[in-house]
Amino acid sequence: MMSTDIRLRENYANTLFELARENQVIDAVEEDLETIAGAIKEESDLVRFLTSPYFSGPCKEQSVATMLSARIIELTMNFLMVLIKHNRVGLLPEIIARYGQLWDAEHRCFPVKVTVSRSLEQGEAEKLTADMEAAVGGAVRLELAVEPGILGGVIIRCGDKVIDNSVHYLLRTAVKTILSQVKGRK
Amino acid sequence: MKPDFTEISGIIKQEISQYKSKLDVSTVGRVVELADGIARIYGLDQVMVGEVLEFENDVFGEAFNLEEDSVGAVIYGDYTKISEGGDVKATGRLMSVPVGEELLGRVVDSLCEPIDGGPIVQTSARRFIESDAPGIAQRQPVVQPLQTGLKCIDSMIPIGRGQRELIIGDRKTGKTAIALDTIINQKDQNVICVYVSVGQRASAVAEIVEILRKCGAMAYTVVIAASAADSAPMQYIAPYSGCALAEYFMYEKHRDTLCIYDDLSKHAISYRQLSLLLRRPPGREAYPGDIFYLHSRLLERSAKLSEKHGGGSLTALPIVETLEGQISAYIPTNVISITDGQIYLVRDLFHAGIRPAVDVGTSVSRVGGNAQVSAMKKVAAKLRLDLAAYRELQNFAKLGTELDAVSRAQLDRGDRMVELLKQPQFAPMTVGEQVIAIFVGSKDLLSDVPVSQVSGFVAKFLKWLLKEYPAYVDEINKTGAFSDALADKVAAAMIQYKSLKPQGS
Repeated sequence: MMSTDIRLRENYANTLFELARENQVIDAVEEDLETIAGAIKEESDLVRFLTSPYFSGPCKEQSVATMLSARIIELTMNFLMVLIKHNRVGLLPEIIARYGQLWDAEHRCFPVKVTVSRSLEQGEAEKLTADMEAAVGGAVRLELAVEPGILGGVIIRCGDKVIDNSVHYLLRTAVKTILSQVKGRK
Repeated sequence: MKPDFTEISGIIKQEISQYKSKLDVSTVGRVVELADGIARIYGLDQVMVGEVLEFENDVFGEAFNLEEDSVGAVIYGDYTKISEGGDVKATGRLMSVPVGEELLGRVVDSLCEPIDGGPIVQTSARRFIESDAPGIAQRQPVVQPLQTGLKCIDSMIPIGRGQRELIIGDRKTGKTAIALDTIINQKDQNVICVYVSVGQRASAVAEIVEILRKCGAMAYTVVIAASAADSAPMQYIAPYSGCALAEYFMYEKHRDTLCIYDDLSKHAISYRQLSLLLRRPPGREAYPGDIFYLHSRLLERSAKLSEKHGGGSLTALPIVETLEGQISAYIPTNVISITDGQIYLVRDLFHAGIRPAVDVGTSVSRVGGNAQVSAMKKVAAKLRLDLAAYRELQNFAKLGTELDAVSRAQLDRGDRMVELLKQPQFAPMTVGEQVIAIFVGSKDLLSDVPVSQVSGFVAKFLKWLLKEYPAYVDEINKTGAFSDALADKVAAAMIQYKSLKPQGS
């Protein structure tokens, strides 16, 4: 992704969010975007069709309208039409992700990614969520990843903050320290 | 190298006993674009300019551009080990390099890691690559000479300790040779030398190291090599690393140091590449707007510190390569205006066999005169004017004009002086030898020697003098003065020498 794309994504997502807030449909738009994200996931050709230069703008607009008009609200539909008109549908997945972040911030909900070495047992995930909520002081949307490679411990990622307390990381740091000291004595 | 396992268990014990469960909290961003040693990073809102960034696989970089929605960073090291989408950690540190005596005699890269195949260096100290130049209160005027061992430079374009003297000229005019001669001449002078090579062929650097080693100069020299094959960021930081290394000896050890930047035109080119890739706006010759600051902040770090601050010094000899003798090009004029003078080497003189090919008219030293020893001042005062007058007359003579006897004598003497100032490579002379050589030339003691043999005649005379009357040269070397009595003695010795041998031999 180019840095200009980042800027475009910010612009579109922020504009959509502001409009949604003015019309008090933040949650509805979020649901719509999830629907669209689901559609993109199911039908991988959808984005390709919408970005293809072989099909004309009206043709794309027509198909999107037929496909989604019953399922999404007017604002979201208009937004999609503008994206098609500006030929920026390729950025749609990024825009949806960014809108999600804005939605999280609005609801004081923190997306937290936790990486552990084995799948959690019954009740552990709930406890983890509760602990996280206490730590960040807000609701937490927990994303759990299992990565046996970290050997043990936990890596917590919240926004751009990372707390790496995995056994793999600790071992790597220890090896580095020992190596640098052994080299120094030679 | 086999690690000693008892030592390792000792280290582990120490580690365990001191281990405190501390959480490693770091700020991370994501690489969104990666090319040619440049990365564009999304995230890292709190990162500072110049902060060291840690990429995956232990590759490091530095934050350069802080933009509205991304961070532009340069990568020091192998950027092929980084992938798009990878994490980037902000370390909260500034770029620094290991410094210390352990590096003397070594060839290192821009991050002061050895590349000569020798053992790993573990130094106790580190120094920031970028640091502020000393202020006015910390400095004192240049007072002590830094002898290059070359007659024509030490007499007419003297360099003082703490001075910045530019060596400028076309390719293949002997710029590096002057720098190397200067390093070689620092033997037993208690000067630490740092030779920074930027964008040179690796084979040329290997050759230079070999020469220094042969001349026994590596014992007090560090060579920092960022060859043409290294990435632009590595070439860009090499002079700053070299300067940091020299600064360590100046500030911490109160030593005199000499730092050679070979060459700053290639350095400017690598910075231009880096800036264009970072999409900084190009200016004249596509160089970025801060190209002047690039060199001024580097060269301003040279200084002669006041006695209160230890009295150390950092002399800089930057080298700039011109194209077709154009000293009015962008980078040459920039560096000329920053430095305290320049030694201008001319291709025509070089091809005419006048080596070092110094153009005396264009070369100047703005502060070195104060640092010149009195003996040299005495004999060299007239030399510059004489040579200037000689060049003027030479132009006349070319027109085929009939010249009067006085002018012809002046031309004749000029020819001899030019011949006298020639000096072979890697044959530095002490001040005493230089003073006597210039003295015999300026006192018309060589008028009966054929012009083509002047150089050899003086060399042989000096050799004879050192054997027969070593006290003469010693006196000048020790006291720095050249008394009238001594001058008479040298003149007498010359007459004696001439009577010993058939003329011209």
